[in-house]
Formats: sequence, structure tokens, C-alpha cells
Amino acid sequence: MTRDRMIIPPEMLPRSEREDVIGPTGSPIIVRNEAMFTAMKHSAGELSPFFVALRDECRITGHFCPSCKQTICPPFQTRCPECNFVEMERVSIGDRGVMAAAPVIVFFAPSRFKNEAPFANGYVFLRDERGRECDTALPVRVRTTTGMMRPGIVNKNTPVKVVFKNTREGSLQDIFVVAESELRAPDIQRTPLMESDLIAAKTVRAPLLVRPRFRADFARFVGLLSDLSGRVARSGRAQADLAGWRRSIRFQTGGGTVDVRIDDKVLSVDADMPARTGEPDVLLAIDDPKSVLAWITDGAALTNLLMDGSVRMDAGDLETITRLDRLPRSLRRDRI
Amino acid sequence: MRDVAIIGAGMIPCRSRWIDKTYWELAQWAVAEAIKDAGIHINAIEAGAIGIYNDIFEFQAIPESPLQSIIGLANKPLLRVSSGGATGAYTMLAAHTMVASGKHDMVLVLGVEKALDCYDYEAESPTPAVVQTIAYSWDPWFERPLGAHASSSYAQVIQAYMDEHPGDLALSARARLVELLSTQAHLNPYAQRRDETVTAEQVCNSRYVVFPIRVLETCVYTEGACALIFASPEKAEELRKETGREPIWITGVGAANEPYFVGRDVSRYKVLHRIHSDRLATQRALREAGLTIEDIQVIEAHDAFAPQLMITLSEMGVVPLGRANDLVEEGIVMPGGRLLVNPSGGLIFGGHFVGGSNMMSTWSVMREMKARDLDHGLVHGTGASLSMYGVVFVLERRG
Repeated sequence: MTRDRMIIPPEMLPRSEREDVIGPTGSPIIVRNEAMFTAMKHSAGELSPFFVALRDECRITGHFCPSCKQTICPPFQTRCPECNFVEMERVSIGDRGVMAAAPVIVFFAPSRFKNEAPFANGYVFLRDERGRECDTALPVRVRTTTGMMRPGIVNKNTPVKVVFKNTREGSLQDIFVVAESELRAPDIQRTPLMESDLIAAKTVRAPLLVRPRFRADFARFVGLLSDLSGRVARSGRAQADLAGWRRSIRFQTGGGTVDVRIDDKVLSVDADMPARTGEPDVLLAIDDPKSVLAWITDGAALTNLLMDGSVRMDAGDLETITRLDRLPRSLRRDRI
Repeated sequence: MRDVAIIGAGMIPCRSRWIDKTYWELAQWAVAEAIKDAGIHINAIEAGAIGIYNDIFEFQAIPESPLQSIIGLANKPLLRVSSGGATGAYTMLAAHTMVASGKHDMVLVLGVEKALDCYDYEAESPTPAVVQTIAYSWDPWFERPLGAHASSSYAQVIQAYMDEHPGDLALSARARLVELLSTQAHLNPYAQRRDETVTAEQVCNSRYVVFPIRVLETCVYTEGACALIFASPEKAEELRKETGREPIWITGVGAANEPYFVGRDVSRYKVLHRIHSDRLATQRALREAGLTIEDIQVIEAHDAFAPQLMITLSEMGVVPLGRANDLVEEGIVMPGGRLLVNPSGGLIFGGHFVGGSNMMSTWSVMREMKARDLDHGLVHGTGASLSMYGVVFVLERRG
């Protein structure tokens, strides 16, 4: 079973061991590995219709109070306490709104989310079907089609659109929002807008810094990519990372350009491809190829390189980056 | 309701980890210190209130139960309180009510917490596990699945405030405030970071934990305990005659919890850019004491994060909302300024053992009031998602 299918990843499970630690007075202190765990089949109870609608219908719902006329999303209560607990009515909510504030960008995450960091969370005031803004804000993940979320991309009152992931499980991680300014007009009007629709997001080419001295590192990068391709072919975990995914990715560096293709479980490198193919699905612009070597050699996250700006994603989808980021660690775990 | 006196306080050193002590020992140690400070026998205590924030940190549900006799309260009432970051303050509120109502004449108030026994075996570090343990304080349907945790929650309030008041909470002001707290902790014998000096420049250069919060403007995880003794006016007077020790009086108590869910109407929802609970709690406590914020000479405010401390002081009315930079730039809280803030070094440098941090703040205000001959002090606690809980105590000396 892969890590993604385990509630508690095997790496986080302690072995049954104890040790003596020498305390400040020189005496041994017994320290034992332990866990405070309770497995659960955790019910979403009366909140279930909200999550079922997200999962099965790509639809957002809220609750409306017929007395005070307020609409809440998420629908966290079934009665309105302000109106002495009058029953609320289930209503459909739109997929567009404005941010309550700029999102925060989490670098240091809790144990169970550390593999997702960095990520951005915020609150969005969605509009109901009549165009009226909800009275409460929905907590959401906030993403950008331009690469890694950075300060200033999404601000207070920025108009945003809800995007549904192609694979959903009935949780708030089934959706995220992106700034409408990053979307084409047809995408803004499309409901539901799917994550896979974002592949065609606008292409903005940043000027590339080309230097002769970059060529050596580029050659090394191509060599490492070829090596990576071979190692993926021998790693069950790495192949699982790429399973079901098909994308062409162009690494356009100041020392040269190379294309990589993901085809289900296979990662292949084609140094000649740029000359004979058109626009790739994902275009990564990198001035100094040295900056991206550590992705393969040390498992430095491409996501972090996007955040600090040393890698720019002019067009593409974040899911591909996430999958590429998983490869070095999977290879390490498979000892390949 | 009767007046309530604080007749004793017992602090023990704050440590990131007391590997050689359990929370049983930390609790007993603090109680012994408080009893000694008050000059009484433990048998004089009629009841207790104990603050322990998180069962997981103590590795036991109902973690107060083994403490019953260990802290000398066998067969006496002991109320456990758990209210997020404001656990210590709410424990004090409970104990205050027990005495003020006339139910008891002498009540033990205790706060204790472990933390660093948590461990992330994958990261080979305790910190992600501590962060995760606190993150379990968020709801499992809407916030937690997104990875919300204490820092991101406070960061959201801070970011929203900065959106509302562009230019306020300037990094330069925040950094100078942190530098000040660092210096003040040098005089707190129990401070976790007593020997550490942090410069404003270091604050500015430190890495983000959650944008827009940097690691050096963040409170620390602490293992520790603090105990206080609350007494009725009659008992306090008896003891003053016996021991000659001066009690400190609680003359105002205010509390407010904001709603959990975010909206625009502050009467029904949490408004992101506000810590409205701090404003309400402060107003209520000051009104009860018959004072204004200008009468307060020393404040120990719950500084989970330096920019949150600045918002809190603004909500209290020390400066207007949107003018928090003035706290530093106008010298209000700086050396020689009109207000002494967090002389213990606060939770950022003193330590944040969640169940008892606000009691440490009380210990500090009492100490400063006596040492500097101040008449009025204020203690504050906040906590829970988006800083939604607020509790304030006004302390006074009566010659």
C-alpha cells in the first residue's frame, strides 16, 4: 500500500524500543517509544451532504436562514441561533467570490501535512446563486497557475474562482481557489472548472538569462535526468508516483533545453524533442541549471525552487510538479 | 461577589524539555513553591483549579486525576480547565469565581504542561509532532484537512490586520519589540531563553514559519508549571497580619470568546482582522475595576506572536487600531515609555507552557508591581482558532 493510502505512513510509526538517556544529574532516564493513537471511522454526520455534493456533483452548498436571510458557507449548523434556532434551508452556492484577506503561506506544517508544504490557506466569501455574498467565508487552499504561491499574487478582495480536482474524496481538499486574473474568460464562466482545465492557462514567458558557463551544469542535469529515468524504471514507489499521469515537461535553462515526458509509469528524456515538438504541457524556465541539480541529487523540492523564484513555471499544472517532487524520496525509500 | 486576593505565587524554571521530570513532578514543585511563598500549609487550601491544555502532551486523558493527592488536595474539589491558549487565564477565572462567590476561602490555582515528549519519527524531530498535537485543536471537517495549525491561524489574523491597516505592524517595529522582549527576559530567573539575546536585525533575517510570521517573532514550546493561591479578603487579611506579606488584589475580570467561523459581522462571526475578544475582555475587566487603560502601568499580555501582541495592545486601547507601530516608534512600550509590557520576556522568551503561561504572566505582574511600586497591572490570555478567546485580569495593590 502506498503512503497516500495510509492514515499513518509507515515512516511515522515508532518501533517498540526504549533507551536510557543520561539526565542532567548523570542518572539514567528511561525514555520509551510510544504513540497515543486511536484509529477511527470518523463520521461527517450532518455535514455529509456538503461533502457529498463537492465529491459527486462538483457543487458547493450552504445553509440559508429564512428568518434573518443570512447564508452560511460552509454549512456548519442546521439551525440559526440568532433566530432562536429556526431550521435553515440547504441552498446552492456559486463558485466565485473574493478573498477575505491575503492567504497565509505555510512553510512549517504539522506532521501530517509536512509533505504538502509550502501551501497557502485562506478564506473566501463566495456568492450565492442570486449573486449575494455569503455571510461567512469558506476556508480554502489557495493556488496559482503561475507556479508557487508567493506574497502579492492573491490579496484581500482578490476575485477568485473555485477549481475542482479531478479526483475527489469528499473533503475540502477536493477544491482550491485561483485568482480569476489568472484564468481565461471561458474558464471563469465554466462551472465546474476542473483542475485539468488549468493546463491551458496563459503562457507568460519570462526572459531567460543565457550564459555560456551554464552549459556544463546543463549537461550534468541532462545526465542526471537520464539516470533518473532509469532509476524510476526500477522503483515501484516512483512508478506509482507517476501512475496515470501523462505530461510533456520542458526544462528551459540558460545552458540549454531538455524535454521530459511522463507516460503513465514511465519517465523518459528526449534531448532532441524541443526541436521537433510544439509547446509542452509544462514549461519550467530556469536561468542557472545548477539551481535544479539538487532536485535530483539531494531531493530539494522543485516546489521550493518555484517559491524562491529560481524556477519559473510559465505554463503548466502544479500536480505535475508535485509528482516530480515525490520521485527522489520514493527512490530513496526503494534504495535505488 | 467578594474581592479576591492573590497571596502566593510559585514559579519553576521554564525548559524546552524537562527530560528528567514528569508533569507530576513539575506540578508538585510549583505548588510547593506557591505554598512557601504564601507562608501557609497546604491543608489550608479548600479546593483547586488546574489548567492543562492538551491531553496528548500529558499522554493521558483526565491528566489531572493523578495529581489530586500529589498536589495535596486529597478528597477536595479540583476543577480541570482546558481552553486552548487561554487555559491558564480561564483556570484563574474559574478559581476567582470559586472565591468571589463565597464558596471557598482559599483556592489553589495551578497550570502545568509537557510538550516535547511528542516526536515525529519520520522527520526525526519533536517539533512537527508538537505542531500536529496543537493542530488537533482545529475542527476535523473544515480547517484541519487543509493543514491549519496554531501558527497559520494566528498568521491569518495578522495578515488580515495588515491588509486592513497597510503599513502597520511594520517589520522594523516588530523586530524592535522582539529585541526588547529578549532584553527583558534577562531579568526573569525562570525564563526559558534567559541567556539569549536576539537583535532586531536577526528578527528581520529569520526564516518564515508561516508567511507573514518569522520564526524569531514566535513563542517557544515549553515544559513548566506555575501555581497561585487565591484567598478571600478575610483570609488575606489574616495572613498579612501573620506573615507581613502583601497580597495583590484582583479587582476586575473580563472574558469573551469570539465565534469560530469567519464572517464580516463581528456580532455573529469571527472578523479576521480583529481580535475582538481582547477588546471585550479588556473593557469588561477595566469596567469592573473602575479603571481605564491609561491607569494600567504594567501589562503581561499573551504574546504567541509579536505582531499579535501589537494587535492585542491596540485592541486593549493602548493605541488605536492601525497605529500599533506607535507602541515602538513613539516609545510607549520601550524603555522609559509610559507602559511596561511583558517584563518577563513574555511567552516568546519567558516560555509558553500552555496550561500555565498566563499564571507565569500573573507572577510577573505581581513581582513588578511590588518591585517598582506600581498600583495597577493587567494580565491577558488568548488562544484557540484565530485567537478567538480573550481573558483579562486587572490587578491592584492596596497600600
